[in-house]
Amino acid sequence: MSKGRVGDAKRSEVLQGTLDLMVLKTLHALGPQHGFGIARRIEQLSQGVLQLNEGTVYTSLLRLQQQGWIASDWGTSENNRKAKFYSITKRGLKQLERETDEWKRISGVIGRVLRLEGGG
Amino acid sequence: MISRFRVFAAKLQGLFAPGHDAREFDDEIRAHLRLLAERFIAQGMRQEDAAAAARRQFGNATLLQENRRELRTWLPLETLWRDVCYGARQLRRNPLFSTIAVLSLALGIGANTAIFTVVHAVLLQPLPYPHADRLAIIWSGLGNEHRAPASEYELDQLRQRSRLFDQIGGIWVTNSGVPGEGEPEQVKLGQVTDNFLSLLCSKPAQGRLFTPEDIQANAPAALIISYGLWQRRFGGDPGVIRRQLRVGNSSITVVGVLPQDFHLIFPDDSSVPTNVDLFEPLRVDSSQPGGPSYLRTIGRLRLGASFAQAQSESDEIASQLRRTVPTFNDAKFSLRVAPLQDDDVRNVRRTLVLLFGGVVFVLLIACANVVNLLLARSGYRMRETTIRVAVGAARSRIIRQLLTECIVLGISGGVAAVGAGWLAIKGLLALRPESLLRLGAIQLSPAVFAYTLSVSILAGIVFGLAPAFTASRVDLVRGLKSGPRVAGRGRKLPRAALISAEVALSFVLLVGTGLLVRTFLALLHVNPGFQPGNVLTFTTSPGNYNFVHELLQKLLTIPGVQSASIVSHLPLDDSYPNWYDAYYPEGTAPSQQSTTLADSRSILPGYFQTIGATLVEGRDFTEADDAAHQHVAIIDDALAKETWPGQDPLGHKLNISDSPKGPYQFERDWVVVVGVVEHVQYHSLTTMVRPQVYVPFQLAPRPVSFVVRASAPLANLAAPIRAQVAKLNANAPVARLIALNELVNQARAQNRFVAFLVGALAGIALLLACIGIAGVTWYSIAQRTNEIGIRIALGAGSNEILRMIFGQNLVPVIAGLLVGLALSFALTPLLQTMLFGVRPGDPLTFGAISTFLLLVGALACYLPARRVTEIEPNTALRYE
Repeated sequence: MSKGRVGDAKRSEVLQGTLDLMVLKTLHALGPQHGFGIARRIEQLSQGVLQLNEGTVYTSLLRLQQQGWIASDWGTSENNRKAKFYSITKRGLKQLERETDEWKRISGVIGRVLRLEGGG
Repeated sequence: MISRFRVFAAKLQGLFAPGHDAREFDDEIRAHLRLLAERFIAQGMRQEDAAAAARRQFGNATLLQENRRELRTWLPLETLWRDVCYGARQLRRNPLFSTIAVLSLALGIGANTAIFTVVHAVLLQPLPYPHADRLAIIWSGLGNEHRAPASEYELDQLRQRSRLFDQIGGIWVTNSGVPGEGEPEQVKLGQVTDNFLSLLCSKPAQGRLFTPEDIQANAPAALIISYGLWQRRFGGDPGVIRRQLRVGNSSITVVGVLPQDFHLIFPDDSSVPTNVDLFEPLRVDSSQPGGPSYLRTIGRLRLGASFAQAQSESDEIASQLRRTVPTFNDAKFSLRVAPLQDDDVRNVRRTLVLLFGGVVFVLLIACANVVNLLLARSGYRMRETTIRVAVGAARSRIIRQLLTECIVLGISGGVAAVGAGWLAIKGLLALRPESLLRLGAIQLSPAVFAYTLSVSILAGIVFGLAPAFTASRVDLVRGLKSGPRVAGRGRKLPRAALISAEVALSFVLLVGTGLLVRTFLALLHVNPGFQPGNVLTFTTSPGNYNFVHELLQKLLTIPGVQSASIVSHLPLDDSYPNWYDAYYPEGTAPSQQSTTLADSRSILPGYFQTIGATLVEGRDFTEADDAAHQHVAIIDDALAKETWPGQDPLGHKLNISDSPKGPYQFERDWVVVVGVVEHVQYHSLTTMVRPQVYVPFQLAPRPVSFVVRASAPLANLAAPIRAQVAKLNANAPVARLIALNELVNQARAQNRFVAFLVGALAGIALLLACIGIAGVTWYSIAQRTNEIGIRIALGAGSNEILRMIFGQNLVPVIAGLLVGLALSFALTPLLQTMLFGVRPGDPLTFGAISTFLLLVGALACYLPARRVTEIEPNTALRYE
């Protein structure tokens, strides 16, 4: 019996959340950025470990914007081109704080669990 | 919550400016790609390679736009629209299927719309009065009589003692000529307490309502008129206010005109008709408890008080009165408080609820039919579904699409149903069941449309769910390999079950119809105690003995008139107040003197002969039976049997109220029984309400109706009657010129109406069920054509196969019949109160309906099954 099923929602959701956090942190650390700049920064920080379709950054930006965690404005980029700049909002800062804590908590738990298994 | 709202706002923006958003996003993506490409070129790539590499690194830009759309718009909304279009295309592609399905639904939902319209207008819509939810009707109880009017004393006591009602008012309706100049016209006159109209009307159209000043001892006579009368008699002239109208030797001032939509909506046994044209203020004389009971009493609850609290308070008041006033104690006085609306609809509620149950049955049958069709079709569509799943459609997506298709079907049916419902409502109104019509404006309203829409969608979901789920449980391999026919195999059982259900539901409706039709037939042959044929009735005024007597003499001179007389309350006519009072024979203990009640009728000689009532014993009245001679009465056989069982009642004395001292001075008096007449059904064709006492009109003058029996056609009598009345008194109006038979018909109207409606519903149900049976039979043949071909090729006779197909498809019909039989035995007792002359489990009805349904079912099965005999084995074997 082969039944029709498409999409594996769970895996992509984890990725989504992580990307959102990274984008939010980038904007927090570097101030207003356009999408290209954010992609560069993540690329630079991941040191080639994370293979990322840069387009997904934009989905993340849309999502964050919709939640009101970032704001956007048209401006001029360093090489004098019109570009959309994103910046973190007050609510975004709070969210970043929450998510950072959450991430630390979860990664701590996962770390402990992994250590436990390694020991056993 | 806030973030939800933001998402919503963003989506809303996306909905209204989709293009702008998409372009900006595109710009952003293009800029990104350009920057990436420039970077690759800077790293030494060739220009074409750089663009490709940039796209690779960026990922799927189209998908991104899609993602954006999903985030910024309601993707489900867009999908929905696509599904709707697709569904509509599917329906168009299969016109036979769609027509049958939509017609089934139109009938099912249309019947629902029509009945709901009535239910909404009558049961759900509040009465058109201010604070309608706080209005109560207050009935007095005397002995066994629980719906008696109140006396002025009782009304006053209620007002004084009640804390929970902030207003209590009363009305009594009688007849009157219209005061002032112009054509004589007789209309209804309501005598009301000063607060009565303001309880039911927030603002008059002109002038004012009554105030306490109007009932002061020396206040000028005041009159309030209806909007209809204002238009009719005064041409809508605002100057009518303050105008003095002449009544005999005195005059009366019009102080107000009621609004156009003002109607009195009272219970049908309250003798308060809807169309009262004149209102006069009534001064309540509360000095002594003995006065006549005649006021219909309503009260408005204080804010926050409940009807239950008001009832217990009234119980307390009644018990106080019983303790302090001996006559109340003797009469076993009680008070009953009911919400005015509930009391108004108490007789039609059950009927409407039953009808509503009936239309739900019809809708279920219609849905079952559509499910059947869909299941049959889903077999054919299995391949399509399989392919869609194979190329990656999610199960939920397919379910959604199929559901949408069904909802489209449901709504198409709903739209057609509004049309059908509209026609049905016109039909309902044409039948004019007065007991329903007086209660509310029956019309298509937004609430009705909302109801129809919800029912349509709900129906779509109900009949869409099952096929959608089965269709989405696709076996890819088998589905792709097989032809369109095989896939439907496993779904035979649910279809058979649906047929059984349809037959069972139809059976219940048919049995209901059968019982109601038998009730109606019984009503046609019931003996009402009089012969209504060839009797014409009318009212006129003045009502004094001389005028009446002279007019009767003149009426007898009209060619064709055989006899003429008068009566204070016609049989089956609610337009006059109904007098009834306690009676008791000699030797009755005082505590028992108020316990037996009888209708009082004032008549003149010849009344019984005129209406065709049978004098069982003794004599009719004579002109000499007046106050000056011995006071006499005629009783009906019911009273005779109750009071003097096994004895000859003639010559016995009976204590009743008449008015030997002058008009309307009704006082207790001993009368001698001189005759016994067969009981006449005055209030209903089916139930005996009270026994009757007849007294000579001279002894107890009351407003009267004339009755005329003639051998000539009644239609030809109207003109000479008017002429004779005018000859006697040019100002005397002639009103309610109506055949006695018409009153009998009106009394049967509700039964006829209900029987007709349930019959129509049952007819629709039967039709739908037949379509279902035929459809399934036809489909089972189509599905098995191959097999049948093989059988024929192997030598089976076509008759043999016909028998097989016929037999197999008849099984669910018979199963449904048995279920319906059981269901009907369980449900028909609910009809009990609506039946007359037939029991709920009437074997004749059940037997006839079983036979009938079996025959119709067999026919619906047989006609399509005959197709097998036309099957050519050669074609059948190759049949795909």
